[in-house]
Amino acid sequence: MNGDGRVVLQRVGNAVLIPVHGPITDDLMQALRRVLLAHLERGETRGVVFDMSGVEVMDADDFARLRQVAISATLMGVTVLLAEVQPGVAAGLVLLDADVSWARATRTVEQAMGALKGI
Amino acid sequence: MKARRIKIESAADAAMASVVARQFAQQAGLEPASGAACATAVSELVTNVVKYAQSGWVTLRVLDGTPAGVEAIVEDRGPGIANLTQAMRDHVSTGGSLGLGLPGTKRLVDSFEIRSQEGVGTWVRIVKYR
Repeated sequence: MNGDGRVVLQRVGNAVLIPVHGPITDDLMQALRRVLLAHLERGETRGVVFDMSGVEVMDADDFARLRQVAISATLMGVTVLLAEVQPGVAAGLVLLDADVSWARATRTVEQAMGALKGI
Repeated sequence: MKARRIKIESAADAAMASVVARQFAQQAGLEPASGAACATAVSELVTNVVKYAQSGWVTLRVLDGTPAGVEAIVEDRGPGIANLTQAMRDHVSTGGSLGLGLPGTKRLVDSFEIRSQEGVGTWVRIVKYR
């Protein structure tokens, strides 16, 4: 996902890597959900990794929008991982009491890709 | 003292306010995590303006004093909050899917003041110090 509203999916083996940048708007997340679910329907993907390294600020609404996309993907039978969540974002979401129960996270994108290989 | 006033009418304005808050936090010498907390708090408040009041203003200011910090005043002439005590409790929604998020916003900052009157509007001042 880019700040200009374009959805970017990078295929890495059996996984999809989604770089998340800029404001996480409703329009952008709806576009992402549409593109991602259409991609998952082909049945070749085992996991989805959201690269969160480009997200420096995330409020509760942003996180809820991401959750909707992640859970939609999970319901299609793939594993969803968040990678490289920034410390300020992690701390902020906890202080906001956001629902993080759905989120599986790894410190790095490489770790996420490694975890998906074992699935 | 550096300040900026931003009219809030859309999610894009909310994103802009969040970016400016982060820039001001950096200028005030806040650590990155504190700057993120400040920007997140601003984002929460201005998102409430868009959701519940349609429009309003946020005034962001770098505080040069000791300690330095960032102040944000978010104000609107929306419907106001009927029961402020209840809105400041966790897990209370006033109609939106996530509620106002005020308790969480308060936890993100060092100072939090709110005034609201039903039918008149809401005024919130937050400060995050270095």
